[in-house]
Amino acid sequence: MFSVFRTVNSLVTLVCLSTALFSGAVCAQVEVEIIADEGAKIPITVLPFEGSGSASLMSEIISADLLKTGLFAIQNIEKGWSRTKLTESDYRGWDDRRVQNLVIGKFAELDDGRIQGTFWLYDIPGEAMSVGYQIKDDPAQIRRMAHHFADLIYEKLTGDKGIFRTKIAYVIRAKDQSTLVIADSDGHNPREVFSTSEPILSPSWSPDGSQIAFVSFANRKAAVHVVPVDYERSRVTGKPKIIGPYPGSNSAPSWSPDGKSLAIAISKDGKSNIFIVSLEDQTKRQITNNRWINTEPSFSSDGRNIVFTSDRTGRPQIYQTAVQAVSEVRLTYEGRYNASPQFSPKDDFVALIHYDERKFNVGTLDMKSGVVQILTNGSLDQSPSISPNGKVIVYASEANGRGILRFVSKNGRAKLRYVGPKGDDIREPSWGPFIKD
Amino acid sequence: MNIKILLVTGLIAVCVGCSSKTKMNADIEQRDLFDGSDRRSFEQSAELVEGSEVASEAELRAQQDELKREFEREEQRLLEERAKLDAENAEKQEAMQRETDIKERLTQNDSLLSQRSIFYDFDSSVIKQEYRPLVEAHGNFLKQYPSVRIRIEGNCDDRGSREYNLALGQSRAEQLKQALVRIGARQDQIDVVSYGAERPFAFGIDSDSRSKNRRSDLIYID
Repeated sequence: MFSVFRTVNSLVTLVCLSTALFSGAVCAQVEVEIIADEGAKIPITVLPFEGSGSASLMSEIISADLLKTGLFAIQNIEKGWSRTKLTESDYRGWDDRRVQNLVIGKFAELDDGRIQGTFWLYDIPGEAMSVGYQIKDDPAQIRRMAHHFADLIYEKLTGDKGIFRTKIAYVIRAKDQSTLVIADSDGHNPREVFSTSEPILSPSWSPDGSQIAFVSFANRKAAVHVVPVDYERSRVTGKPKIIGPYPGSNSAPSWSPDGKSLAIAISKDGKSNIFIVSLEDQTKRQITNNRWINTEPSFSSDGRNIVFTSDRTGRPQIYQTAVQAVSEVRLTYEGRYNASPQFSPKDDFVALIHYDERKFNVGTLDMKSGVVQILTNGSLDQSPSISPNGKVIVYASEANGRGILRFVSKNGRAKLRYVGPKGDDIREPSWGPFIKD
Repeated sequence: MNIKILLVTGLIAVCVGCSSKTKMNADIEQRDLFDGSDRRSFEQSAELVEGSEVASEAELRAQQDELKREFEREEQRLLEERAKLDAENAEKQEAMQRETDIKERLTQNDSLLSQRSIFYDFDSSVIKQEYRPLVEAHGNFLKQYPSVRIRIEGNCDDRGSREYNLALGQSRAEQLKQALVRIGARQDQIDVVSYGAERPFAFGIDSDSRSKNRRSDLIYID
């Protein structure tokens, strides 16, 4: 499935920026290792942005974003390039250099204290400007501005929406402390949301990004908590509150697409069943009803179906049921252990973990063909979460005995590694929704 | 015996003036005399009787009979009360002894009761044969001492789904609870919780550490 030779294209180590600006910032050293195989890629040349100060950072971020998707080949032009807006006569020159897609940009610090970025994407063979865009913003938002440009380039050239401005929530586990963190999807700007001496697991973004549901413990029982956040600013805006609690152990929250209810697992008297609980009036409706384990519900994007894990055959496998009329269908047959299902944004596949040959790996289950494709090769890959454009899966993995996050493209061709500050044990990633433009 | 007679007279004497209030006083005095402690109040009362010539002899006799019966009833009641107190004391003693026994049995290092964890195969909540004696020992202990409360904490190793492991830990704890109940423990003696893979006992990722983390712990609550 993968080429044996993987090339390490780049190793970027960046220190988190301006932590003093934000209270509650977790100063983290982010290490992103890009591992991608050689496949057909879209060639693109990103010239250093014209201007002073952080101009070069703009083009660096754009290049890194595009490179990490595994879909682009970044071509470096040594010399003889122009950084100004192209005129008709310029196309031929770039064509001669075998440049197909060219990004040129400008960056300036304005008198009113804001920053201004401008960029153009050119289709050289077509002799046309594909995108031109300008943003003025707060200086603290410089990375966001560059990610925004990368989103526009990505969308223009691939036809899919970009995910560079999205956020990821995850859990840092220390010996006696668990911390829920929100970070940019490239690992930058990690911010602490909630910290407790109890374990935290299963964070899950509400569809509009305004809340995170997660599981922690209260009086020795797992309970579903919901905390309000400011998605764009990665900031917590209130205190977590417990949903219910309903008698028994409450866990595995999954948001309904309208954000008005949660599917959760309630474990009581030796059985674990799935319920849909209303966030408006806390009423609950039972979905599964048997004496086995039924957990990890995930709503389809149309809200009609739920996939979940059940051990009713003695081993965990993935099932699907309609929400309105319970009609349970088993989806996985291959392997002795399939769990942690999550519907893709288009409901065309389900991400899962699969156990085979003493290894846990992340894979996808195609909803049309029923084929399970394994995408990772770790030994303990867990907790997959799909990007809002359905193109990348983030999951928890291990390196040197500590938890790290890894990313794999849905086609399995690009892989990334995200390592937190030294000694940090990172786990339970959850990918947030698109930023609304 | 002498005290008793003295008491009867005393009571009659006190109650000649006949009011419920005096009767109450008499009760108190009776108790004192029963203990053989203070007779002064009685003697004073007796003197009082000698000094009064209010009622006729027949009336006096009837009153005396009535008072005598009343006294006998009182005496019976007091005896019962004492028996009850004795029984309560004995019970307290017994409870203390039981507490001591429980503590002793739970702190014995080499007993089956000192073993508080059972371990599982991967993705299994089946209690292995080798833990039957341990489960039986705890089940019988809980049956013998219904006041004892325990908490069973189900745990898993770090492999697989965290949420599934949370449910699996619950299932392990619950199945152990039902095994103890079958032996004779009461449902309300046992609380079950699951920490899934979140509270590892051993932090290694080798198979030995992992097998240590696939366990249920029996925790005796003070």
